[in-house]
Amino acid sequence: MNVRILSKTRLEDCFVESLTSELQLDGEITPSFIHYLGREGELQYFPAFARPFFRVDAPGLYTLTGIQGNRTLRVTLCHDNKLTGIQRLERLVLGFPDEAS
Amino acid sequence: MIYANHAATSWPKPPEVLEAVDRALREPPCEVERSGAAGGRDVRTACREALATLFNAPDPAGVILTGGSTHALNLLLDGLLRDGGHAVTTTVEHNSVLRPLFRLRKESGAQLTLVACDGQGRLDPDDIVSAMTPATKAVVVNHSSNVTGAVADLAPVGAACRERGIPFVVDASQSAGCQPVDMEKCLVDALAFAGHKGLGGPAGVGGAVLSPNLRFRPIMVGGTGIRSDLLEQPATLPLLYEAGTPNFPGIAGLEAGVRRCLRTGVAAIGARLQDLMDRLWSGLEAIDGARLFGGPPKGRAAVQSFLLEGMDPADTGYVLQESYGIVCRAGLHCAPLVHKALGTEEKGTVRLSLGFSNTEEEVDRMVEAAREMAAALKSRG
Repeated sequence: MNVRILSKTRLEDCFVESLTSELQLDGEITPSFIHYLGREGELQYFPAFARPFFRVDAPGLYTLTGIQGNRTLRVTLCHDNKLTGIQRLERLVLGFPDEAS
Repeated sequence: MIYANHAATSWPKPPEVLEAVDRALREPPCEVERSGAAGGRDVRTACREALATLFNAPDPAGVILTGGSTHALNLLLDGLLRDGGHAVTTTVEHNSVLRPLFRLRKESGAQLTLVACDGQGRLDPDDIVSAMTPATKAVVVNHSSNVTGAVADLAPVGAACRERGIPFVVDASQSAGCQPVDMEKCLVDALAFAGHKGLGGPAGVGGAVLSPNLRFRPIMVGGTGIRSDLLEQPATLPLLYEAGTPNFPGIAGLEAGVRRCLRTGVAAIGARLQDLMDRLWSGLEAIDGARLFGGPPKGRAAVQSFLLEGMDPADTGYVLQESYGIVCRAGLHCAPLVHKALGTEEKGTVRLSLGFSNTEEEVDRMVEAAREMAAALKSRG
């Protein structure tokens, strides 16, 4: 079974231009999922943190952050490309191959 | 979970606050001024008395209970500057001061002078005094910054205002219950406070404390429960500025929180927070790759803004919370101009803000988390 996005919740922060949302996933974020997401941009992965953190910068599209073991991702979309950004991310997440298979 | 977001709202609330709110909701309302249910305790008067003692205010009747500090500041600023005029304020202010003033500038033609802080968020009282003119109708100063913890020296500003007959308004939202605020000594004409921060009360309650001679147009009029034959708002305090049914549970909780502060002693609370702050600052300061704001901790409120080199503050705050269980706040903290002075207006900072309930062990864990994160960032190059 692939990873699915169950819901998107817009997060407000201090900046008018910010387009950040929290994506609820149907499963936990695993190291292989993190590395898979990293294909789409520059991955920063911090396995030494108490709970590992990662960030993927996909230039011109989005910035993705999350914590290994959580079931949520945070995505900040680029203003000029928000529709393409979220569509690309949704396709990418859905395309994650089933780890059990 | 370690809670380090006391500058936003304090947590956990003291047991006596929880009990007072619970009791206020369970027991029949006692509205002495409103000929309500007989018996019980007049919580509003008791709360005003406690607050007047806390702030060394001349008259408990001058304690106006509102829905919070923002409500109180709108009441004060709109009342003093609705017809325009010049106001002196500072770049350290929270949006609860800046937004009402900028609206008054737009809608009422009020003129503003924004006194700049230095690169660590500190104000020079001489700069504030120098900005006063014969047209000045209000001087509005933040007592303790929610971003840098810098504490303003109120007394010289108060003396200059009194000499010139200018109302001196102090935003004590952050300092109330954490640092002594003496209205008589500092010649403060109006003080705004939040109930849910250092005072330990629930959200949705706060107020303005007025000197006896300060009068202005209220922003809201309506029922007061007494003198209902009048078709105008009663001119006496506190009724002039309190219309509508009060937030009795909130006021009961606030009173309990204030009395707790009085029992413990604000000076003792301040000393405890200073110890924790010293520990936090010296721990963070020793981390390679950590940039701290506000200067050395002595005399500052227990608020530490910082950045970790190579990491967005939003990410740092997210990791502290999600990975280490440390609740903090990243961003601009509703005080955009002080971030400009710090050079952090683009992304803000991460803020750890301590409260009386924090322990040395918790502070050490905050430092250790920051150290671990900084080391990982460094090792990435």
